[in-house]
Amino acid sequence: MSLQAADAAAPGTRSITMWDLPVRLFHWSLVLLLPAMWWTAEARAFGWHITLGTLTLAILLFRVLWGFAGSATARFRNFVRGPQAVAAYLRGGQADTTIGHNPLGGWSVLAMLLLLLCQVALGLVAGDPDDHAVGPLNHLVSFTTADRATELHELMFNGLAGLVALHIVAVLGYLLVRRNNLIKPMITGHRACRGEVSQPAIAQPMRAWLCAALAAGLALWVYAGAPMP
Amino acid sequence: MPNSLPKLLTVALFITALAACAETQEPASEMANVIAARQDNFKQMKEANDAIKREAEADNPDPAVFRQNAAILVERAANIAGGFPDGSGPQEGVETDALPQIWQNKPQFEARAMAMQDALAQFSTIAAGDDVNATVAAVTLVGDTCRECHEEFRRRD
Repeated sequence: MSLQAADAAAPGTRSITMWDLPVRLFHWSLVLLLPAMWWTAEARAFGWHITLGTLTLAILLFRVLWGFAGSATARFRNFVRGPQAVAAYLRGGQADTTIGHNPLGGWSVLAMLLLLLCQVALGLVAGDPDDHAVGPLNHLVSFTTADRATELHELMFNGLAGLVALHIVAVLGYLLVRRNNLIKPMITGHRACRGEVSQPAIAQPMRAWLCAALAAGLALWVYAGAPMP
Repeated sequence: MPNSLPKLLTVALFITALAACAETQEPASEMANVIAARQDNFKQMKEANDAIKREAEADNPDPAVFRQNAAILVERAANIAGGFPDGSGPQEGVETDALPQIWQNKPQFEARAMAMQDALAQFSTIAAGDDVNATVAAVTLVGDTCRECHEEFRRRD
């Protein structure tokens, strides 16, 4: 295959597709969306902030669906591992052999996903209609609840920023200390592997389209204020 | 000695320039004070309105909370119309959500401020009475006048 030819410089290595296109698109969309949402909030451009937040909701929903129906390396059950696996990984040894999220990275991905989902959920009900723009589901909660959600939404951003910072430091650590470039596979999808490594199953594009349609539909329904029939 | 004259001149020129800057800055900082004052006025109003809305959702709303905060709102609402003198609108280097429409349509803006004062007078009268349920039901009167004016005269996006 042409994929392998590109990376097959060193003898005994082969190139595999580690991250499928949907995972990569999801990842780099977040890289653009998070600073954009921070900025629109700072600039009090709440119309934009809510639009981008809905877009984030859509891609988060997609990622959750993809965690059950996507390619092998995207599935939760393949990368959310028990404490023993994490401890074994921390003791070292298997650094180069993990295809997909390693046992520690898997938890960091899960933590970021959960925190992002909480953050979006809070944003959906946040705001004060008398004061400024409100999240699309603000009308479903009381003023007191919305007020607390707004405060938590502001507070939780710090936790989110902390996790993102940790993520970036970890990736740089892998790059500079362990000489393991995690950034390139997240761009190209490919990773060069030594020895006997089998190509993880890559999901059909049709599945991705179905998940995307479902996620987009849900997000649009929420944006419309979750109208009941 | 021959070197010190150009130095002296440079310093003098520098000081003059600084002084000139300070002088031209004066009116701008005055406007900044006007803007800061009206923003503080609105922040106090938001706190009072929030306290009223929170109390309206409490299990046993305390009439005193409504009366206290209504009094704050009445006092503060009287400051609104006067807080937007000419030249205190959006411009280079000024952070304000006030839209130019305020100055383009001053009568309409002042009518909105007056509508709020009317609503507050109405709310205060109800809050002064014994019927807490009626007060709770009247709470939206106040917020509605905030929102109506914001939709027209305050930057949203």
